[in-house]
Amino acid sequence: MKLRVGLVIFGVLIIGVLIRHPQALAQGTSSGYRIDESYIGPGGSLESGSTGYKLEPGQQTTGNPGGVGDSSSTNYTAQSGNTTTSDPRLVCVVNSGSLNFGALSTSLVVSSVASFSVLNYTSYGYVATILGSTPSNGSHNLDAMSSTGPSVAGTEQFGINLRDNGPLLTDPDVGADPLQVPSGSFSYGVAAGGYNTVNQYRYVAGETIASGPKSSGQTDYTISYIINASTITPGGQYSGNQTILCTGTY
Amino acid sequence: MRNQVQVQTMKNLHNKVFIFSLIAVLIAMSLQFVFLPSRASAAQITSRKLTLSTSSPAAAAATTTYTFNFTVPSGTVLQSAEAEVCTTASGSCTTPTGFSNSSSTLSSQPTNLGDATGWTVSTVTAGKLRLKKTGNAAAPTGAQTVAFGNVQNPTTTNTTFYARIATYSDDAWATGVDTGVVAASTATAIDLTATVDETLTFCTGTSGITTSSCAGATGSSVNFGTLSPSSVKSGTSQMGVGTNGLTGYAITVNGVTLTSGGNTITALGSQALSSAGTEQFGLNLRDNGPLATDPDVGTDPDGSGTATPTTEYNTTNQYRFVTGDIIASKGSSDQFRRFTASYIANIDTATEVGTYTATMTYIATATF
Repeated sequence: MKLRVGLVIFGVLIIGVLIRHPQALAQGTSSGYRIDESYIGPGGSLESGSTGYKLEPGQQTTGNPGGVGDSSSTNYTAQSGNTTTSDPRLVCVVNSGSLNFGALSTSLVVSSVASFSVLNYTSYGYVATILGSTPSNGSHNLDAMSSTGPSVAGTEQFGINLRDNGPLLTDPDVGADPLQVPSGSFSYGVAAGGYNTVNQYRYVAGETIASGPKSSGQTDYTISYIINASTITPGGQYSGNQTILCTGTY
Repeated sequence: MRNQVQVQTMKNLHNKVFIFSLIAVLIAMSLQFVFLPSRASAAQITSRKLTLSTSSPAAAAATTTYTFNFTVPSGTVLQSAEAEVCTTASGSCTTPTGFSNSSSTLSSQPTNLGDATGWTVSTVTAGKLRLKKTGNAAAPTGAQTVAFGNVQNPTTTNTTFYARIATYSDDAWATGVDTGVVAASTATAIDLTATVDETLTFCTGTSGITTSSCAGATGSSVNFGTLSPSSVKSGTSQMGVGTNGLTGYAITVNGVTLTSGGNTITALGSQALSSAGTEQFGLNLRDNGPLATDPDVGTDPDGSGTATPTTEYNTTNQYRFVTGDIIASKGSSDQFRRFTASYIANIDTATEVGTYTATMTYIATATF
C-alpha cells in the first residue's frame, strides 16, 4: 500500500515539476492582471452558422486584409481575429522622401504634403514626434510658427498640421484628415492639439504631432506644410530635413 | 516462521521504496531550479519605452541617443542591465543592419536603477547596450531611466527594430532578474527645399520717394543757385532702398566735387561743420540745422527698414564727401528705407567764377 501511495505521490510531483508554472502561459486577468491576447471562438477559416446566426472567424485573406471576422445577432456583435504574438509591434513608415516648394512668394502661400503611417500593437499607446529645424538659407532659418495660427501671406511662416485644409481663398487646399486603417474600430491615432485644427498651422521641433491612446491599428497621417515669405526673407535656396519619431510605450 | 520472515522482508522493501520515492521527489524538485531556465521566474518590466533622439537611418552617424524609460517590478539589487537590439521581439536575435553600439556612452547616470553614481557603459558585446556597476548597493526604486549616447541607428529606412531589456543581479549580465521588450523604428527623413528670389529695390530722385515706395520718384537735379562766401547754400536728394539680401546692403556715393572747367570747390575730406567763407562741398544723411550758421536742410532716415547712415555721414550739421564712401548700410535683409542726402556748398572770396556742376552716383550693393 505504501509502495502504491509512494509511486502515486512521486508521479504527481514529477508531472507537476515538468509542467511547471502553467499560469505563466495563461492570459487571464484579475484586478491586478490583464489579458493581452484572449481568444474565444473558432479559429482558422472555419465558419459556424445556422439559419439565424453566423460566427465568422478572423483570418487574413485577400478579401479580408484585416483578418477580422464579424459575429453578430440582433443585439450583439463580436469581432474576432486569429490570435497573434504578444510581442510589441511598432510600424512607423514615412512615405515621402522629399518636398520641393518651388519659389516662395510674398503674396501667396505655398504648400505641400508628406505622409506617414503608424501602427502600434500590444502597447499603452504611442506618440509621433517631429524633429528638425525649419529650412535654412545660410544662417537664416524660416520663421517657425511657434503659436498655432492661420497662414498669412507676406509674413514669414513655416508651419504644419495634420488636417484637410482649405479651400478658402486665403488658405491652401492641402492635406487630408488622419485615416484609420482598416477602420476606426481598430485604429485610434489622432492628431495632437496644435496640429489638429483646419487651416491653423504650427511648428515646434520636438513636439508631439500625433498619438495613439492605446494599442492601435494603422493610422495614415498627412502632414500639410505651408510656407510664406516676407519681403525681407533672405533670397536664395532653402533646404532642410525633418524626421518623424514614433515611440510606443509597452 | 518463514512466512513472518517473508512479510518482514516485504515491509522493509516497501519502506525502502517509499523512502526512495521521497528522496527522488526532493531531488527532482531541487533540479528544476538548477536546470530549468531562471527566466521563468523573471517578471515583466512595465511602462517601458525607448525614445530615440532621431529616427534617421543615416549611416556613419553614431550620434543618436537611446533613452530607455521603464519600471522594474522587483526590488532586487541590480548590478548590470542591457538592451539587446534585434530585428525581432523574441526568438534568436539578429542585430539590425547598420546598428552599432561600439561608440556608445552613458549620456548620464541612470535614474533610480540603484546607486546614483558609478555606473559604466560596456561596448564589448556588439548589439548590446550595456551598463553595470560592480557592488551596487541600492535597490531600484520607482521608474528608471537609462540613456545611451553615440549610438548608430539601424541604417534601413522605415524599419522596426526591438530592444530586449534585461536586468541582472550580478555585474556580468548573467543572473537575470526582469525582462521586457520595446519596439522602435527608423523613418525616412523628409527633405524640404524651396527658393526665394533675390530682390533689391533702389531708387534716387529729388522728390516723390515715400517711406515705403519708389513709385513716385522724380527729379535728378539739385540747383544751389548762386554761391556766396557769406552764407551756405544747400539742397537735397532722396534714395529709397530695400532688399532681401541675406547679409544686407551698402550704398556708396561716387563722383567728383563741384567743378567748373579746371576749377573745383574743395570737398570735405573729413567730417566738418559748414563754414561760410571757406570752400566746402559735403553731404550727410541727417536732419540738420537750424542754428544760424547751419542750413535747415534734410530729414533723418525713415521708413520701416532699419538701415542707418555710416558714422561719417550720420552727424547732424557735420558734412563730408569722399568718393567711394559707404554712406549707409544694413547687415541683414531690410524693409524699405528712405534716406535724404543733404548737400552744402560754401565758397571763399577767391573761388573762381563760373558754373559749377557735379554728378553724384549712388550705388546700392546687396549681398545674398
